Amino acid sequence: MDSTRLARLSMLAAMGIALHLLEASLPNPVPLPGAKLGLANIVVLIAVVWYGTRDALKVTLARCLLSSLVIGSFLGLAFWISLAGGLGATLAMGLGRRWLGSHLSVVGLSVIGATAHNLGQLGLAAVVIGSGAVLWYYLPLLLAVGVPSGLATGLVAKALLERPGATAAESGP
Amino acid sequence: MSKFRGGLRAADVAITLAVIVLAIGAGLAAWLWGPYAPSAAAGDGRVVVVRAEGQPVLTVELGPDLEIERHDVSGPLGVTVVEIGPEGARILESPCRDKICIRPAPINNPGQTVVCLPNRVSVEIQAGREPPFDTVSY
Repeated sequence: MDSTRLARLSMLAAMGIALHLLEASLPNPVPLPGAKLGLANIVVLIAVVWYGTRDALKVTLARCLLSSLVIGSFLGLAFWISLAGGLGATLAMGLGRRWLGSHLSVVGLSVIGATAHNLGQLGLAAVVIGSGAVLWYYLPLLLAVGVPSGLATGLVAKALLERPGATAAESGP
Repeated sequence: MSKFRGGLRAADVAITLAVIVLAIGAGLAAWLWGPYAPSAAAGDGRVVVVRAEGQPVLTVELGPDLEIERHDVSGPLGVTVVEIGPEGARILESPCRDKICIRPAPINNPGQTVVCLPNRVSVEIQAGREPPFDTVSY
């Protein structure tokens, strides 16, 4: 890939790491395990809009790997769960963009991403614990909490993408 | 295509509403068929242990076929009536002053307790078999 693309993707990954670390330092307003603001999704959204699914997956992978190294949870349970949610969300957003892109603005994509993120995390958690009982308790609550956070991050991403300087040299499909 | 305030499109609102409906649906499903339902909870060997003055005086295994029975437990203040049935266990009457122990909903999950402290009566649900994990950390 050309150097502009590479540089931009790297910047996005770096911002994703920074947002992830920022979020980890904030006190959690919602005491549900797995409920989080998902600020890093802003970056993934931008990556999806600019460069498409495959490159967005690279950004997500880099973000999860590197931020887990900094936090110290690399290869731990939190890392795998975060990775499952992150990759699921990126895939969902990327495919959503490709299939529904003309109908859906970034905000709707973000809601899809937040939902997929929660589903991915819960799914892996259920597999690890070995019991489906987790799903009953947490699914409705996480889905409900995911909606406002998805909307919020979507609105932020939308505002960023609409700024006058935010044009990509090459845009994704 | 239609635009709402803020540049949102119809599909965005549709997706958001769909997820909210999904959440409500999952919540309803969990309420009706999930582990909250007493009939789902019973039958795995969990046991009601009733103690007076710290000593177990009554042990009943919970199950869906259990008949509702009242048990009288004597304590320093008088008789506490414990009702055990398929929905779980609860205290019906007690000679204490505040009657905090008399809850409308029965307990049926391991670790739950109802206690009448003045009359030294405790009702506890114990797990029948060991859970598959020792602890959970985040």
